[in-house]
Amino acid sequence: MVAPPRHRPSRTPPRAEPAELFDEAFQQRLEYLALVSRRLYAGRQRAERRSRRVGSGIEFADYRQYAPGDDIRQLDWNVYGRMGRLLLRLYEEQEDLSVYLLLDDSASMAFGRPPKLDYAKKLAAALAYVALSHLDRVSLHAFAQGRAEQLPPARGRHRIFKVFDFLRGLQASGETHLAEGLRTFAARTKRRGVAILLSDLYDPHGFEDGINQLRYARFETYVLHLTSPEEISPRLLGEVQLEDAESGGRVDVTITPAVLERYAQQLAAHRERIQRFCASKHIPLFTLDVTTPPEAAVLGMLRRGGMVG
Amino acid sequence: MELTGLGLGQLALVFGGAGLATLTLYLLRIRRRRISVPYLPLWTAAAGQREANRLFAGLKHWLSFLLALFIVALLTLALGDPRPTRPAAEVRHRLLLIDASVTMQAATAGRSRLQEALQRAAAEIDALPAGDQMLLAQMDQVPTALSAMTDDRTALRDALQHVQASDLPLDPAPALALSGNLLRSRSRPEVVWISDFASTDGAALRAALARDGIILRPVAVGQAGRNVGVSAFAARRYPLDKSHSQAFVEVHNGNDQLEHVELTLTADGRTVLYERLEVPAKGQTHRVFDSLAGVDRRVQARVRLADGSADALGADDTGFALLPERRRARVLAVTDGNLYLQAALLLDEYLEVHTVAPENYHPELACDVAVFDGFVPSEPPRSPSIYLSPQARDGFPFAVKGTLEAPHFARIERRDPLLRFVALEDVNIARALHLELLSGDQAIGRGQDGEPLLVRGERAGAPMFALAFDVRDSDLPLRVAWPVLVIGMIDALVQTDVAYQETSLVGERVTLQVPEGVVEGVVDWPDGTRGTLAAHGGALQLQARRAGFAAVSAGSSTRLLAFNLHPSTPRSVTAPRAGAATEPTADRPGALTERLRGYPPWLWLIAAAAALLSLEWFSYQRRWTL
Repeated sequence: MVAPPRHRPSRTPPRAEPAELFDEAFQQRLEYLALVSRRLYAGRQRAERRSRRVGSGIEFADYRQYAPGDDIRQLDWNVYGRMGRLLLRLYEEQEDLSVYLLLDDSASMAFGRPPKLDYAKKLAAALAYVALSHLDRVSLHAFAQGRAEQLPPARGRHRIFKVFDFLRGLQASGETHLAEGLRTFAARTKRRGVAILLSDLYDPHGFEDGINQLRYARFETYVLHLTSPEEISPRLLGEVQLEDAESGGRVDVTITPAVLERYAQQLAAHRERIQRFCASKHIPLFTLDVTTPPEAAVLGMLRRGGMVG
Repeated sequence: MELTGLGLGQLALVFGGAGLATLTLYLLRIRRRRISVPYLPLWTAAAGQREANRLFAGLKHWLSFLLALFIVALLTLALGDPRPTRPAAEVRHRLLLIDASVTMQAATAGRSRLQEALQRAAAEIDALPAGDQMLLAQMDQVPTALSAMTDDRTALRDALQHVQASDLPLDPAPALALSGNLLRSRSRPEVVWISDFASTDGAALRAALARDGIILRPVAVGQAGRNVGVSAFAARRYPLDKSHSQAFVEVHNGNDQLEHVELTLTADGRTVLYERLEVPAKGQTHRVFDSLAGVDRRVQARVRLADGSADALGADDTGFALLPERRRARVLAVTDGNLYLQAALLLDEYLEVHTVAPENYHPELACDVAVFDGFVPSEPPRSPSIYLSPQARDGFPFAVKGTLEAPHFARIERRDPLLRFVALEDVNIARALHLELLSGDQAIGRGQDGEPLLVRGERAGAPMFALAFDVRDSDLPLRVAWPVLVIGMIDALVQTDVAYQETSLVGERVTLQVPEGVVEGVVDWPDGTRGTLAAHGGALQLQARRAGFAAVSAGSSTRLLAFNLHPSTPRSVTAPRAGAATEPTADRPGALTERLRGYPPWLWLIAAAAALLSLEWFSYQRRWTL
């Protein structure tokens, strides 16, 4: 029987100091990721990028090395005269890919060591930096039930610090309602692009509705399912009162080895349901453990391909 | 069931307090920790909180609490030390008598009979059925209770440690009287008589106890062995030669064959004589040893088998005797010259003789004994005195009624120590004074008409002897009796019994007079222990349980005593006679069962509580209970 929520504070894991999330070491790893992603990008996406490069954008964005077949009208002859290098002018319109990083900052994201939200922040920062390195338009959205925060789209690597600032300000609180949050996002966002959902997918209303909102809005959807070892193998035994971190609901449980085994089965079924749904909808799913270094996780995702660029 | 520890009210209080504490602890124990989880529906599905499970979980709470209360109840009941109450008529009352008399010291195969008896007694205690009661007592001349009538085996085993061997003979009558007085009115009375039956008959004992409805279960201990011993021993000094002594020894052979023994006489730790003797089977041999030199006070006669074999009963191998203490006596002889007197005084080297003429006598001359030969002091001396050659004049301690013509000693007081070794019957006396005795005077030698010829009395608080005749008017100085009489009178007056000091027997009550004002004495017993004796009526009374020498100190004086075995002590070390049953009663259960039943109930309660606690802990770890 679930008891009504009370106002006693519950046991939640401590949060990392936001300032430490994006330290010098992390930023250096971001540079590494950007380099690797560029290599990967150059090796695989050349043909597609070339076709998109042909366009009539008016806003100068950046230079790119000339390759046979490119429009020679875009060559910058001043640069050639000065440096002897053939470089193409790139205009914003041609290279405009919107990357939307959607973070679930509900209360359940505060669990784990490190907390899943902190891990999601690092992932989001890494992915944002990779995208910004590729001159993609990056915007961040954080949401929980009844609440949404947004970092407007930005382009260029120098914008990464705004990303840091935005992410540092996020706190895990509130309930999860993916459908509501993503519906709102989809309604507000006119430009389509890549939508990367970072969440633990603990939605009492059902995670399927939330992800479907992105599909229906024709976003190229990726799901990063975040988990922590404490959730997979909880070290609990005996008489306990479990309190839901988001809803505050409570239930008295006598945790025995049999109950733990059933819980593991329930969790496995939940994860399998997520996998089946994503597989059936052709949505790339990445299940990430918070103990995996973020850069390794990002590299893994990049190597599997298709996310950026 | 009865509670022998805390009472019912106290137990209720203890249980109430402990129960309250248990309830508090239990409530704290089942208090749930609140833990935050990210997604409760997974746990809700895993817990599967069906109604039936919730009810069962609640029931487990109650069961676990009741189990805890039950454990507390067991421990509380253990504090009450419950004991099963059997109907009074079913309780057996048992008297365990252990023979600790002298024959129980006989040892064969490296173990004494008393040790074997203690072992058998311990077995009897261990086999005591739950609820039955036993009293432990040792017996020799008199029985001595060592415990109360109890079913506490621990107390009985502790009492067993206090059994002490004695040199006393066994007297079964007091033990039988104790048995009757103790058990006559009790249910299922029984006497377990552990003895070697050296001087008792099991059948006679059984018949005696049967008159009171008491069952006798004799337990015989001991094996046959070879034994020789000293059955009699005495020593004395020569009256006229105190530096030499005479000893009498009787050696007994309790075996069925002739034995060769080695006899050793020791005096104050020094060997003064060694001799080999032959002692006939079941017989005695005695010897008189003359002119023993170098003997001061303590004399021992010890025998052992000449072939070096072990003597089964060592307690009778030694005889003890004491010789009177020798000390110099100062004798003041007031005489005009009496060769007979001077010659007699010269015979004892322990006399310090000072001779003065009558005109030179004065009362301040220090002496232990004053001998007045034909002289009467003007007033009685303060020292003991002897009057020889009496003169009927002022100052003479006797009134003179007349003279006697040719008297002779017709009646002699042989019981008087002075006359033990003196023959006066054939002394010829020419004439004597007819003395009138005063109250308190004793005529120890009388003439044919009863006239006193030798008197013992007291004047001015000092003892005195008096002859009613001048020795020169008789042939007494020509007889051996003369110097013996003179030395004897001097020794008697200085309280030195030079000749003989009687030994006492173990178990015999000895009375010693103590000086006025002395309220207690200290006795050093032959076994080396020390005790205190209270004086009653100016005397100390003591009774030795071991043979040997004892020293009694009272005031400023110390008296030595020698104790020997009673003449009735059996000298043969034989196996117990037929008819002494040795097996315990048939209803004795198995030893292990009895041992288990012998543990007190409170121990079982604690064991049960510990077992339940262990089971509860084990099941809690498995989450079978809460």
